[in-house]
Amino acid sequence: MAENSENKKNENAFGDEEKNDSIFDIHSASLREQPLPEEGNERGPWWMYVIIVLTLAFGFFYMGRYLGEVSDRAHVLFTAPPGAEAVEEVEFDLIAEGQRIYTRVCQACHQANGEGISGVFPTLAGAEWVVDKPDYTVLSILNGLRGELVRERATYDGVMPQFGSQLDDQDIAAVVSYIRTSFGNDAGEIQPERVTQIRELTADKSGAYTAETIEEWIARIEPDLEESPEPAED
Amino acid sequence: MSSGHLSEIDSSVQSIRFLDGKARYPVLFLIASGVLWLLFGSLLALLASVKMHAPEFLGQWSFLTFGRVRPLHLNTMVYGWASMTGAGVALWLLSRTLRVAIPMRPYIIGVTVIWNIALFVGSIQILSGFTRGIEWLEFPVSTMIVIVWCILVIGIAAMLMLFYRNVKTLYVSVWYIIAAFLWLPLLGGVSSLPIFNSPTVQAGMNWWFAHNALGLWFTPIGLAAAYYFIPKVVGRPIYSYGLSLLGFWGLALFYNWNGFHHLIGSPLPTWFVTISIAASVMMIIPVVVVAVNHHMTVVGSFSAVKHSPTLRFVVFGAMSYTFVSLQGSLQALRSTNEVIHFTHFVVAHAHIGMYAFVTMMLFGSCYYILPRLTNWEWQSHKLIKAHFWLSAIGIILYTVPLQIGGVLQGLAMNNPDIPFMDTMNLTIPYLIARSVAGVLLTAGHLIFAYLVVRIVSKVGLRPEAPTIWKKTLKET
Amino acid sequence: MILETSINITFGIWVLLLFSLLILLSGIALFIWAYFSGQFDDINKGAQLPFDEEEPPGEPTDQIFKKDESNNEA
Repeated sequence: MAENSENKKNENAFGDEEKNDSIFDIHSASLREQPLPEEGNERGPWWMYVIIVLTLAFGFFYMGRYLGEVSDRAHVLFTAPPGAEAVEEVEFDLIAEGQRIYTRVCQACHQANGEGISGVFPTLAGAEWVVDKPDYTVLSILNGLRGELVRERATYDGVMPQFGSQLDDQDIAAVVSYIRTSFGNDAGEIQPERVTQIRELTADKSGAYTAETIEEWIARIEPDLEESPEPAED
Repeated sequence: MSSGHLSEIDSSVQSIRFLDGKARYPVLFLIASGVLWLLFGSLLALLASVKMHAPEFLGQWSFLTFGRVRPLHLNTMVYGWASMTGAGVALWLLSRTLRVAIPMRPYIIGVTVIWNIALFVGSIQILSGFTRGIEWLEFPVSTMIVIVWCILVIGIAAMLMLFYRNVKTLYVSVWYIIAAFLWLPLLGGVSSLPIFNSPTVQAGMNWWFAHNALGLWFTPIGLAAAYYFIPKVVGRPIYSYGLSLLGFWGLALFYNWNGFHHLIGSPLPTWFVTISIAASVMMIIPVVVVAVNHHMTVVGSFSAVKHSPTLRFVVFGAMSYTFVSLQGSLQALRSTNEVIHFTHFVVAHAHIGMYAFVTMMLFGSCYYILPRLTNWEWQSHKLIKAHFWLSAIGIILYTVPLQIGGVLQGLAMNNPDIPFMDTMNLTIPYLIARSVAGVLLTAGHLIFAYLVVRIVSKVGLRPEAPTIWKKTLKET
Repeated sequence: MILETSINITFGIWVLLLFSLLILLSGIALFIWAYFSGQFDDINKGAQLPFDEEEPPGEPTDQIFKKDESNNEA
């Protein structure tokens, strides 16, 4: 092996003077005692080349398979295999969604337990508007409510902002359903379709309601509304 | 002796003893500075490790909190110990393999002084809370630029050696070192540009830099040392010079895109990550080539390994390189990354790379270089052996439990039924094992520092005769 | 501040790409230079470079621990 390559070198076409009296010839005596490679020019075992080829093949396959879209758009692909589990339908849960919205939007004033703050923000627990007349609640969420509000046990004088522009019909239905079934309330859910209907009927109302105008508006839209939701079952 | 390449060398002037004499002060200064930062970094490492399982330990001072101690540990080890010692070893290797004295010696010493000052200032900055908050780049940009500039100046000296070399053919170590001195200033410069201000892009830059700093700066220096010391100590030429070149260009081709595999699952464009994973897997090619080459050179010379402190460390480092690289290729795959991402497994992996490979290579190099620079002998063979075993057992005790713990941690984190606190508690025994291992490693470092101080200051008993030139001395 | 934020956020991505390619090109340039300067003409020679007359091949160096043992025997 070693000698072959040396001879071939002599014949090569570069015309360089090849010197055969390399360091090996000088130290050949000591080197021959070692049974292992001396040339510094071995080619390596065959399996090394197998690994190289397989690695290249895998690398290019991987790039071809998972390259994705070549752009500067941020996107995360391929982290889960597409198929079976991806299509699983999640049933929309009005109450759970309503709780999420309540925490985010309503809780700051009406408090986590729905008790409100006396004299300013009405309590929702057992409130007539919430349990028996949910249309009032929907209206005040849609357009807001200001001015004095007289109730049996207390009088409130705060400002309810309008949420009609930031919550859609499903959100409002969800949050009203949530407060109707929480804080000790035991009324039924209301459906997004009803909120849609109310929103359409009150489309030309601008600004917040007061205790009086909300009565007028309820009276005006009542005949056009479908039947009221079932009252509390107690 | 009129044969081949040897005739190219004017050995009357360029004898290795002449070259070592010229290399003495710059290389000694770089290595000694490195050892100083190694001790400081070890102390910080112990602190950080203990804080992982005893969070209140020394937590009453803000400058000793985990968020400052741990980054400083990383930075002093990387830019202090490994970079300084690595630069010194690289210069010495170039001087030996290019047969030319180290040029710009006063500049190199001056630059090393500045480098030390920058590290000192940077340490105070990190401890007092001034940090970039980017892993591997915690030093403020201004400090980092000074360090990169220091390496650049030393790199210029390396280039001068290349131009004024006394041999025609470049040994494979030279390829690695020259490339490392080209690449690191580039990496350091780019990472300091003020354009990576969006979080995603900053993360991309972070891992592009951090992984390349390991792969294009420390790995080339470590491999250059292995390619020189293994044949040199065994006394047998490298198994295949052709394969060694294949290994080098494989690294140059595949390494620089590896870093983004740290960002699997991030909002970085998918093709960035995919190419990076493919490149990480392709790293198997140069790694296997290098492993075969080193293994076939050493095989059959076990006694040479046993009798040489250098080769013990270097062979341990070379084996770790193979192991850590193959592990890294597997880790980069999305399926494995799903489990081990954000776990202690990756920390252990990084320590196999920076300690079991790079640091062990540097220890081995120091054991070879320092007696030749100082014309003095190591004080105690027993202490060298103690250092080797403390380091070897220490790093195994560090990595094996931590990687097992990391996999368990990853599996637990992927299981939504297991509360996060349970996952935390699960890792504590492994973290304690790490602290124990840290004590062993630090003890090894103290022994090493003691030996270095003894050999540099030449105190104590002078050995009867320097053993390193045993043959020559016997003849005289 | 305004100048900083007005830079497209993806700009950095292309900078990284550019410099990665630069590293790659530097490797290729080294290879081309090596080829044309005759580095690959005689591969045998390379493996001999760590050795010289003072420390020839076939002669292990740095056998510190061995000497220790032979001293003990003597």
